[in-house]
Amino acid sequence: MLLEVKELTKIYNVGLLRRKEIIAVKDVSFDVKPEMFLSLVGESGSGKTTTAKIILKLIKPTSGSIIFEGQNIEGINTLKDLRRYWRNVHGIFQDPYASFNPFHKVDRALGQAFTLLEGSNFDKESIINEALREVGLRPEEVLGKYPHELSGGQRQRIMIARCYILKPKLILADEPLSMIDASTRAGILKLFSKLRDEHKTSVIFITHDLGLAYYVSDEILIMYKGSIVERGPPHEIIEKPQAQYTKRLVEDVPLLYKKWSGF
Amino acid sequence: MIPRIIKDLFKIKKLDISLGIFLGLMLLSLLGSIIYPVDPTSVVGPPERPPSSAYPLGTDNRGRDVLAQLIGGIKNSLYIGVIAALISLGIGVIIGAISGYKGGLTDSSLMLMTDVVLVLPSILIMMLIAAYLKERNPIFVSIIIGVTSWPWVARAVRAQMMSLKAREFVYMSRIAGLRDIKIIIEDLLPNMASYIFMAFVLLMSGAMIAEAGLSMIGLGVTKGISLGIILYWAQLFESVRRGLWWWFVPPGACLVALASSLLLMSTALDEYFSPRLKGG
Repeated sequence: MLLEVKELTKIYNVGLLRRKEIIAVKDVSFDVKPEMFLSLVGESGSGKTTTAKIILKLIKPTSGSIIFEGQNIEGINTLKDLRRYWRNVHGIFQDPYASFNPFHKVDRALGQAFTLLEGSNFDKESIINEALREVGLRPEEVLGKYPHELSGGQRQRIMIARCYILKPKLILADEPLSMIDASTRAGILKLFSKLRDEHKTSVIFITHDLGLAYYVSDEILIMYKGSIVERGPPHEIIEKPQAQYTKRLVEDVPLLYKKWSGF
Repeated sequence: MIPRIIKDLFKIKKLDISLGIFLGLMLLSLLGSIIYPVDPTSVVGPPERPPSSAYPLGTDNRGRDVLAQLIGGIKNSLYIGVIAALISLGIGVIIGAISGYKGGLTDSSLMLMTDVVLVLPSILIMMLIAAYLKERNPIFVSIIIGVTSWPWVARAVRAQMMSLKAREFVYMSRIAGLRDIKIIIEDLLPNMASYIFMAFVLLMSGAMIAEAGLSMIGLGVTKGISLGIILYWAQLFESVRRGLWWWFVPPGACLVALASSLLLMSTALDEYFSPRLKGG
């Protein structure tokens, strides 16, 4: 097993005088096998992104544990160990505009990857160029530019190129396509499956689009209000949804060639 | 080629006016002593003379030249303003940045300290420290003002930091294993540069007024001159009641012009960087 998530719970306390608890993630458990394409599907506020951030060690869980290759990630605390963890488990976020610091050239996002790689004598330039070509970009077109000079699709490809440099064992892709034009989505989605096929990378794909998840996943988890309400292979979820929420989601997937009949 | 942002900035009338006033007074203080080489501390003529061709702004009770005092006073007030603003900006940004980025216990303890300094009446602290020092040169006065006026900067920087650190590019830098200090310097601080600059401008205007306040109660610089010191002597010898207007109007007007031009500058920049404030 590559990654085991066990009874993960995250509770936020808000308010000063009247304490109120917001349960973001509640008792979430799932496993990720090597070379698996797992989708977390749910609406906004369902706890998908929180789960991803906990796995990436960007926030701490309230309770529960995450075991990566047999090691509880709670014990990873020194910068050296953290770097090794992030080399193996990397993330891509929703907003390709917000993923780049507007003050730096896009090269920085790629160069940062080398902090995580062990050793020091790389031919950085050729590694970066190769990774960019892998994701379908021409290095001379994007290198040396500022983020605002590139399109959303190009930026998200650069983020994926960063994963090509690292070749992590697990990628958490948090809605990587939601801000991309529909016409370029399929191309970017293919890059994830290419990573899996060529480098045996597992992918946790977070999306609100059940149709998209159906198209690429080995397993789908449906999250609603912090909990997993249904899980299974894509065709089972689409054909025989059990939970009420899943049924609603399945009905909402827009179908091609079927006209909307209105309310 | 001038970057577009500079061109756009100069299109703002408020900024042009305030920058003009500020730079004008600054040039007056810097070049003034060359064009008008009179020692502000030595007696040059009969006391309490109204403006004339020999003494363009008259003389004070001891026969010192008011124009020369004004030139030296603006220079020292600006000097104190800049140094005090740099000191409080330094303390405020460091404490605010660490507090906002680290969170948790670090945040709580640093903010507790900030709140303590915030509720202490700073003028009282300044008086206590200033009264304790026998000799106060401009640097001392700047330090006194600087170490008492940083808390709001720390609070504001902390708030900005907390909102910025949840941005995705900060996450990208974090999962690239960058050190915290590098993330703060490369990712977070540049994104609040405009804000920090505005804080500097406001701090500077506040510091110059604080210096005048300290001087007016007799706790300003003991050596040399400043706008506050001229006003202090003018007040001590009842210039207002006796109608010696040339003694207190010019330093007062310069102080108001300096402080308000800085305030106007920060308002103009604020409007430029957050268009929501433009109104309409």
